[in-house]
Amino acid sequence: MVKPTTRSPLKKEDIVLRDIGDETVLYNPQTKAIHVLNKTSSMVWESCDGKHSLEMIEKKIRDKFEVSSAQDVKEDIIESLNKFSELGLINQ
Amino acid sequence: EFKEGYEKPKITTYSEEEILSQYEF
Repeated sequence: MVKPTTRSPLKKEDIVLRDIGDETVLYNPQTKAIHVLNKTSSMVWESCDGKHSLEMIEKKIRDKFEVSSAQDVKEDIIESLNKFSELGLINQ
Repeated sequence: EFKEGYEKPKITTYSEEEILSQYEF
């Protein structure tokens, strides 16, 4: 699990990336799985450089998108990071 | 400045076999 405020997640180096239109396609050679990310999860993925904290990723997303008060961006980011971790795409 | 509406992050996973069987890295 990701510890939200202290971790700066980092992409695994062997993941292959292709941008196709608005989506990002990741290929994990270890699992031979292909993952298609929408714009928001692509932005979370891009931010997994070991330098961005959860708060920094949240700010980036809020700067880019119109977010309604009903939407919990931080929780969505945590879910995405946990998913990336489960799929073997990032190092925690 | 025009901002796009926020969409929840979405990750869809396919196996290599699924992709190769549906379409003719």
